[in-house]
Amino acid sequence: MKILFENFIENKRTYNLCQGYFTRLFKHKLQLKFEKKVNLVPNQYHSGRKIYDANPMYCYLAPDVKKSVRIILLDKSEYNDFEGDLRKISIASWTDAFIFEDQEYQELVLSVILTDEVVEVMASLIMEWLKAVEVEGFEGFMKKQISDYIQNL
Amino acid sequence: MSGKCNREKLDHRGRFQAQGDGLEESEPWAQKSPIPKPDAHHLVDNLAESLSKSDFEKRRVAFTKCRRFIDQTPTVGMSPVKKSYSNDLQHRDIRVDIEIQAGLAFVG
Repeated sequence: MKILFENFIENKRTYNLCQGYFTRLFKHKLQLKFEKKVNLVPNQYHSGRKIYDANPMYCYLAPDVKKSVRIILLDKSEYNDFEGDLRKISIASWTDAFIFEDQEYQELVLSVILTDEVVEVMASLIMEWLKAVEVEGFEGFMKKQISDYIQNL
Repeated sequence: MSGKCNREKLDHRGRFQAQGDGLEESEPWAQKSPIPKPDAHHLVDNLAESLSKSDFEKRRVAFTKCRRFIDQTPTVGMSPVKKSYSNDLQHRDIRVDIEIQAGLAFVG
């Protein structure tokens, strides 16, 4: 299992590269609207100092459909002692509501250990989420996608 | 009567939430000035105390992580964002959320 950006907690350059990777994912691969000041929620203190905790690593807003995607990356210190197949816990997701600056968004949360295979599942979930009309219908799709991913490992 | 609206503007808003596994409990704040750390801890206490023993145990570590984040925030405070903390790698949706919706939080 090759984990992408594995040392992001120790290395700020790796952390920043990981965020750049997600910008490319949203902007180019998924071809979503992207303006930093409109579509991103920064994880930072009021002073502007960035927080390097990957909670979230990336938070994308789609104001036109009032939806958001929040991506949390697990640090290796959180799973190093896990006894079992790491791939089976490499992606967890749920939906919720997120109120940001007086606007309520329906949010999709993806909590992951990042691998190429996990990114494929994430991309599929994000695209479906942003076009989904009903959250309930999407949740069925989400559970099936993750279940299929785990069963096919 | 001046006719002016005397309603105070509550620019600093947010909530702590315990969610997942069928639970949805919340402790919100909305106030004129940023919520100080001791007041934030008080709301986290209220949230923890509102849970059953079982629901709390499922989130015990998550509450600790949440409190640690509040304590580690510099005195200038935290900007709007949402964070999630969980106990268990295999049940990450069972969690405690910090949602800073507007203004600043955890100053002092």
